[in-house]
Amino acid sequence: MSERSSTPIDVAPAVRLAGVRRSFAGVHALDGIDCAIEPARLVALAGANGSGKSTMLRIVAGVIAPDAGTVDVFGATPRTSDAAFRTMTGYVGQDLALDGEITGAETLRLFYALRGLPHGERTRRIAAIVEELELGSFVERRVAGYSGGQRQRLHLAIETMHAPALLLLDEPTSSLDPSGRAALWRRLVAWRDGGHTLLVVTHDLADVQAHCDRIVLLSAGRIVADDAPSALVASHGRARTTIELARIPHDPASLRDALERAGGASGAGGGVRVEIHGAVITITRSVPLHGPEPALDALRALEIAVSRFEQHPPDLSSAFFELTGAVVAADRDASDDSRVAGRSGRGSGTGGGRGSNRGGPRGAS
Amino acid sequence: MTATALHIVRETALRNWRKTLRRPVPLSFSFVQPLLWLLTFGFLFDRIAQLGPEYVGLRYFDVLLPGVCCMTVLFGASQAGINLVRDLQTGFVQRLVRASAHPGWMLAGMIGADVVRLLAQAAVVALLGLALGARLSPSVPGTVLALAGLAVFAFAWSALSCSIALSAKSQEAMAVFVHVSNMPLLFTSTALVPPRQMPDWLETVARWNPLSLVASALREALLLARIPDAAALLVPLALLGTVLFAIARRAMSRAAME
Repeated sequence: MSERSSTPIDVAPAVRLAGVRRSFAGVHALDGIDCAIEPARLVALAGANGSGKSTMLRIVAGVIAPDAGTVDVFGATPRTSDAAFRTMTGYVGQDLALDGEITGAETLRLFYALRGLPHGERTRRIAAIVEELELGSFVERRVAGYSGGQRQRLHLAIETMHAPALLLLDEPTSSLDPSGRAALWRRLVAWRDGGHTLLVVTHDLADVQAHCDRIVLLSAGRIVADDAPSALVASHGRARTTIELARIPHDPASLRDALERAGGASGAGGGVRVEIHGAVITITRSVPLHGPEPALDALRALEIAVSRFEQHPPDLSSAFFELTGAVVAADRDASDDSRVAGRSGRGSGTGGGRGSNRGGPRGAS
Repeated sequence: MTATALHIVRETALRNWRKTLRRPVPLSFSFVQPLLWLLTFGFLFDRIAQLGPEYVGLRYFDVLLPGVCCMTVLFGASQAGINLVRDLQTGFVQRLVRASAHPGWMLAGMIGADVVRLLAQAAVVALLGLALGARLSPSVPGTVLALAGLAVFAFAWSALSCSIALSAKSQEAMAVFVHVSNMPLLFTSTALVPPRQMPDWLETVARWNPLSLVASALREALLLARIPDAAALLVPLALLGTVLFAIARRAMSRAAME
């Protein structure tokens, strides 16, 4: 892990938000955000869709203004001190707004001029960024013919050509294949190591756990966690066992009760929750299991055949569900009993409503 | 003008020209309308139009040609904002403005590219008119001055079109602007008829019409081999252009924000 210390800030923060609120048509997208981000850190902004993370990023980028509260980026206020602000920030939004009728090279030259970068260095600097982001194979073609991943890389080149002190990225890997995604995270880490501050909205929790110094987790417009990924995993991660049955059980509620009894009676692990969706059973524990899975014995005793069995240690995804699920469950206020059918009724009463981890955080979004 | 500003103007202008050249069909169609006006109005009224003593020996077709050149510029300039609306709808203009160290120079580059394109289109229309039999007796310095006036007019009207585009952000609003502004401006100007052949009230209106300034100047230069009054031509157009560009510049800066 490349995680850096996330101790309280003792240097001037790169970004500071205080009491930031923003609504859209009466809906609170952000509801009192207080956050400070140290310079030269790679920070992830995560949360389910509609949690407010993109709104937070756009406010920091100066694209929209907050309804209330203050935002400070290296001492400048987004929107009002435009010239200095533009020089030190780069914003890669979700909309890959590019002109399809000109080539990637023409696009780069256009933005190079707009940013007021030294003309004498144009050829060298554009060549360097083309090489760094591997645009060479398509940069002379018109943008209209680019794939989503190619557009995203061109987008990134435009926003990093001026070496901004703060780079804001909204789901930068959404159009990239796995190798492109891995390459991008390597670049983000390299930029961080080069002294740049990066704030990344992402659903790639495995990559966040592997590369980010810190994760700010939002739910319903509020920050529900703000810590180093490893610390969040330690405090909120849940070990997970996935069992796929040979066939869908006739009585899932009875089976769930039996498995919970088995888990509780065995004393193995702690805070056991069981969820059954179709033929898939997901068992999560706040304390990892050391020893054989008691649910397998219970299934064997009930003469239920198992086709697949997997165990996962606590990870950031499980912490994500634990933290964001708590708020969602509270908001729902048990208004729909059918949705809490998957809860154990014995645990903390939080998180059960988020469903299983089958789809990972993308599934939750 | 700093080197940075020059590079911004050049790159934004190059982008506009590249897009124009890569879409040859709309460019070709832009010559159809002036040609139709020349062929229909020019030949239709050639025998009945009374041109007045200063145009002795000239036909209505000859007198119409400078007016149609100005009309070409008017129609093209009024549509300058249409491409901007397309860029606004994709978010590209917002990106350009957010990236730009000087949004004003970027707008100047966009409009400047339109001005050069419109002057070139007007020149092609003039050549088409000559091919159709128009007779011109141009004054070279007069023509240069008149073209300068036409360029400032194109700049001003393109800036107005961009302001409308940046404020309304819709193709429908642009269509309304084009239709509502072009025809009244054309028919209340001296582009189609010399002022002395107009009713008194229309002649008074035409005197305050900026299109009349450039149409009359171009006619003087191309048909009568005269040099137009530079101050009377350029000062009001430059004032108009400055005001309209300032409005467009302000609208452009606001476009970066949602």
